[in-house]
This record gives sequence, structure tokens and C-alpha cells, in this order.
Amino acid sequence: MKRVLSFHVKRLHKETNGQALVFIVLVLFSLVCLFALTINVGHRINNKIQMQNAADASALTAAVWNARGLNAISVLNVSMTECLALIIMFEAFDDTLEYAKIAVDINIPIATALSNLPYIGWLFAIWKACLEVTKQALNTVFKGINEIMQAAIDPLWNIMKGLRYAEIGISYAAPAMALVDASRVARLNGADPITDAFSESLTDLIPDILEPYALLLPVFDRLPVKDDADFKDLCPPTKHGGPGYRHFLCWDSALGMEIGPIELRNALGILWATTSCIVPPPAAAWYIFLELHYQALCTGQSQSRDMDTSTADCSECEDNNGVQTWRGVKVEVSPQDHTCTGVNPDALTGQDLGTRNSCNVGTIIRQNPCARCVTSTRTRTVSCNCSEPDCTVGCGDGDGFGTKQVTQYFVETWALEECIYQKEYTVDDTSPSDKPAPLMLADDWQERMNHTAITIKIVGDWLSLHAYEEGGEELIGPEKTTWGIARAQIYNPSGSDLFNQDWRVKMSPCDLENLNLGFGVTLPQSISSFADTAVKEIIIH
Amino acid sequence: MTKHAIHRIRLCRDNRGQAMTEFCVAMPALVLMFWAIWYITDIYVVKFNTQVAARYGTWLLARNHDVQKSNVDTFIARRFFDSDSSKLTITAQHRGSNSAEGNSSSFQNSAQQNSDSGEWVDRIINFIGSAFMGSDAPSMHSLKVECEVPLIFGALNVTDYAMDNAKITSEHYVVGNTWNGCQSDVHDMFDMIQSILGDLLDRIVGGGDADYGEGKP
Repeated sequence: MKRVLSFHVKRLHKETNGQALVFIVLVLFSLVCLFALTINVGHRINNKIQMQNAADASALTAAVWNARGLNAISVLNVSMTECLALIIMFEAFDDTLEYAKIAVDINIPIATALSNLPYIGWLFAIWKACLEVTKQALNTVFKGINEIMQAAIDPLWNIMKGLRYAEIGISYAAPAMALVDASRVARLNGADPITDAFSESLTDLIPDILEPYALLLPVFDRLPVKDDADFKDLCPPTKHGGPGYRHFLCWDSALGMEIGPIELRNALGILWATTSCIVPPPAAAWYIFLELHYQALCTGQSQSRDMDTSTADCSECEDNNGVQTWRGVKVEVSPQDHTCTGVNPDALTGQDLGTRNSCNVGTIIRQNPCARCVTSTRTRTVSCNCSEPDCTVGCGDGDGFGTKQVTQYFVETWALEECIYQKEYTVDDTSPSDKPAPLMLADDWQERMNHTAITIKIVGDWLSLHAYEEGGEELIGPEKTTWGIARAQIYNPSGSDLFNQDWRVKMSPCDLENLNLGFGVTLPQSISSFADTAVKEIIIH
Repeated sequence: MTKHAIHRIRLCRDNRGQAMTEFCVAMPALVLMFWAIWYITDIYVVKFNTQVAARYGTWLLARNHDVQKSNVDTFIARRFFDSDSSKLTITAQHRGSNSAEGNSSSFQNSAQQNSDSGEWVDRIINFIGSAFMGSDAPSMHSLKVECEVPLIFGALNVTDYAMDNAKITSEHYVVGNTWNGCQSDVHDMFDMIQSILGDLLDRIVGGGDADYGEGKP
């Protein structure tokens, strides 16, 4: 028996039949696997590209809707400004008429008295006649125009109220539309319902119309507008000084409304010019009343009166102790007399560095209200020709050159470019306007201008190799889910306020570490860092 | 035992040439497999090209509705398909279009599958665009890029035998830019209100229904 077994083993070793067959089977199996791998990789990349495209389009859609909302609010704000300008003109017209009536009543007795003068009395008689005609005109034509204007003021305020309600509605509607349309675009671009990432059975529970095909972050965030803003909030002093209402309420633009080829305010000015026999002329009073009314409506008080344009406040650059830091140089600024004293480095410690705004060197510094200048000296050793009188060191070696100590003078200047004008401007609280003011951007608007979209697609492998890894069960999990993530940003190149109808969108890099979830909630730092890393890995995958 | 039978037994027992025979049998299979891997990869490359081209073209159209579709076609062919447009079919569609190249019915069918609620969204946007902004830009754009690839089975080009080429298709949807830099000065507001009122009056007097979906390709 043992001999027979030994014979068979030896024969197996020597026999070469079927050797090539085994080899070919192995090679064929490898090739089939390679074939499957090719298809799987292609399939996955295909879906990955599709999802990234879907996420991009979805994020863009959300941002576009919000930008549309901001543009619409800007248009309505401008409309409100126009109504406001009309109201101001109408009120100024009323005041000018009152003034003209009083002035003409004072002028007429004077003209009557002067018309009795010898030789030149006829001139005053003409003036008197002109005044009487003007008085008649004031009591008929001007009065009639004024009555129409005054009757229009209340409807204009009501139009402004209506526009404001519309703006508030838009601030809620635009993000809602963003939510709906971002999901729709994601679906059209091939995304699966986002709930599929967790469970397909969850998808069945949600009605089709509510099924989210893109996870949009922030989930729902009202447009970043502040609806408790008052006119006074719209009129802060500008960075470079001067009353802010000229810019924020489109002063020139709104008052520059045209009737035909002439600006409305100038047309009314020409109308008042016909009453110029009144002294002082009502046309001049018209422009003064116009300005005063604008200021009064804006803040309830004159801004230029309280505005300290000569002081630029650099408190933005200072810490609580009044210490400014700039390129490692610390300067202490006295809040009382605005004098600057060096704190760091040692060379500057205790030095008087001038006052907050005084600097006599260079136009660059003068142009910057937060500029500082330092004058200092230092001693340096330089080589010199031994023939020079101060060149005494090292001249004994015969080469004709030595060294000498020289004092160099430096005027160091620096400008706190990041210093922003932040002067607090106190407005009389007793004169808040109860009138509907245009909406303005919320304080945190910049953080709320980013929209992130996440899309998913369930992707099966051709060979379902992962299923065998999981014991043959078909599992829905991350290994079968392809993700796409994108972020779009809203910006305004023409100036970030709600009077410029130029809000646009652009794609921007994903930054999950600063993710706004909406409803005022932000992701905790630890989780957001983890999510950022995880998503970056998913993207690489 | 006949002479013929002896030869047959010897042929069966003799293993000379066996490897050669197996090689001859396996070689075509191996070559076919290698070719298939190459061919599939090639098809995926075309697929990726169509995907990227569809996305790029759609974004071009959506970003600026003054862009002509023919320019986009040329651009796609040059940039993604080595200027070979003979095998390309590019179809641009946008919401509500009646133009020949924008087949609105098929677009809406595909866009509104699963009871899509998007039509009223587009109507609102197109109304705002046409009535307030003076823009007739469509609210959504789509571009379908089809590229024909020959059906090849090894050395055999199947399409030579009256079969159609396979078509690799990708489609992308993106919202259109309906605002397009509207920066009306405050003075324009009166003109705008006037034009809106005039437009509405024309529609009421003319009796025609508003065609909000009209858009340039």
C-alpha cells in the first residue's frame, strides 16, 4: 500500500499534463478582476463627477436665489429713497411757501414806504407791484401746488410702508426659494434623496415634493437684513468725515430725479426763482429747507454739528488698555489728549511719539488719519578713506582705508492701514423716526453670505465586492455613497450695502470649519474640524 | 488492432504540442480581454469629457444669456473633443423656450419628472425678469452633449455592418442669471414703472397672454 502511494506521489511530481491550464485559469481570473476594476473605477469616478456637478449647481442656485433677494431688496430700497426724496421736497416746498408768505408780507410795507422816495421811488413802486403780483401767485398757484403736494405725502409714506413689508417678505421668501430650487437642481443633475445616505426606508416616509435632494447649509437662514433699523442707523458719519446720509440715502441721486431734462429739485427751484422779487429770494430758501429737511428726517438732528471730522479714532487698533500694536511696535495712546507713547520695543519705550493725528512727514502719512511717525538715530561703523578728517580707526595698516563711526538719522513712519473709523455717534434717542426706513444689512452679514450644498448618490459596485466583505449582505453605507460638496458665495463688487443692485455669486472653496447651519447655529469647533477633514477625505476618495 | 487505431491511441497519449494548442485557444481570449479593458477605459474618457463639456457649456450659457449657442458648440468641440464636431450633438434647452434648438416640451418632461414643482418657480422668475428687469433670460439652462463612439468588437467595427454608433450622453442643469447686472439708477425707477405700466396696458388692450418663457438661447 505504502509503495503504491509513493508511486502516485512521484508520478504527480513528474507529470506535466494540465500545467498550462492552471496557469491560464489564474491569468484569466486576474484579467476578469482587472476588467471589473476598470468598470468600477470608471463608474465611481463618473458618479463622483456627476455629484460634484450637482453640488456646484445646487450651491450656486441657493446663492443665486439669495442674491436675487438682496438685489430685489436693493431695488425696493432705492424706490423707498425716491419716495423719501419726494416727501422731503414736498415738505420743503411747504416751508418755503410759508417763508415766502411771511417775507412778502414784510417786503410789501417796506416797498410801499420806499416808493415814496423822491427820484428813485418809481423803482420801489415797480418792486411793490411785483411783490403784489407775487403775493397773489403765492395765494393761488403756489398754494394750489402745495396742497397737491401735501396731500401726496401720506400716500407716499404708505407706499414706503408697503415697500418695506415687501422687503421683509422677500427676506424670508428668497431663502425658501433657494431651498426648493437647490433641491430641484440637484435632482435634475442626478442626485439621490439625501435621506438615502441614512436609510432608503426613511425616503419612503417623506412625500416626494418634500424630499430633499441636496443638503443645504445653512438649512434656512433669513436674508441678512436688519429690519429694526431706523433712518438714523442709515446715516452714520462716513469714514472720512461728513454726514453719512448723503451716501446712504442716495442724497444726490434721489434728489436728482428728473422731470424731462431738468432735475426735479432744480425745476422747483426755477419755479421759486419766479418769486425772486421777494428779498431774500425764496429760491435760496428752497435749497436751504431742502437740506435741512433731509437732515432732520434722517436723524432728527444735524449730523455735521456733532461730527468731529478732525479726529480719526483708532480705537479699532487698540486693546482695552489703549495699546496699539503694529508690526511689533506698541504705542500707547492717551484717551485724554491723544498723545502717543512708545511701549515696545525698548528703543521706543517712553518716547513721545507725537499725537494721534499729527505727523509732519510725507504726504502718505498725512493722507492716513492713523499714521504715526518716529524720528530716531543710530550709530554705525562704515569704511572711509583715511584722507577724511573723521577717519581715524584702522588707518595705520597702509592700505589707505579705515573706519569711522557715523550717526544715521531715520524717520520711521508707519500707517495703521487696518484702522477703521469706528467713532461712536450718539443720536438723540428722543427723536427716533417712526417712519418706515429702508432695510439695511445685518451686522453679521458677511458670515451669512456662504451657502454650502451637499449631494449624494448611491453607487453600486459592478462586482459588489464590498458586499462580500460585509458577509454577503447588501448594506447602504458610506462605501456605496458618492458625495459632492460645494460652496457658493454672494458678493457685491459695487459696494456692500442694500442700495447697490449688484449682488452676484461665485463659487468658493469649501470651509466646513466655519460652517453656518442656519437658525443662528454654528457647528462646534471640534465637530467642524472633524467634518472638514472627513469631507476632504471623501472628496479625495 | 488496425493501423489507424494505433495512430489514434498514440495521438491521444502523446502530449507534444499541447501547450501550443492551449496557447492558441487562450490567446484570443486574453487579447480580447486586454482590448475590452482598453475600450471600456476609452468609453469612460469620452463619458467624462461629455460630462465636463455639458457642465462647462451650461454654465457659459447660464452666466451670460447673450452668449450664442453656436459659439458654445465650437468651444466645446475645440476644447474637449479635439475640434472634431462630426460625432457631437449638442442640444441646448432652457425653461419655456420655443426655439428649435431648445425643445421645450422634452425639457419640461425631463425637468418635471417625479411631480416636479419647478414650473411655477420658473414662471415667477421669468415674470420678474421680463416685467421688472427688462430681461428675457430663462431661469434654467440645460445642455445635453452626445458623442458617438464606434461599436468595436476586437478588430471588427460593428458599425460598418449597418449598426448605429453608441451614444455617450451627459446632461447638466443650472439656474440662469436672470439679473444680469441690473444696476438701475434711482432715476431709472420712473422709466421702469412707466415701462411696466405700458407693458401691462399693451397686454390688456392687445388681449394677448404674456409669454414669460421667451428667452434667448
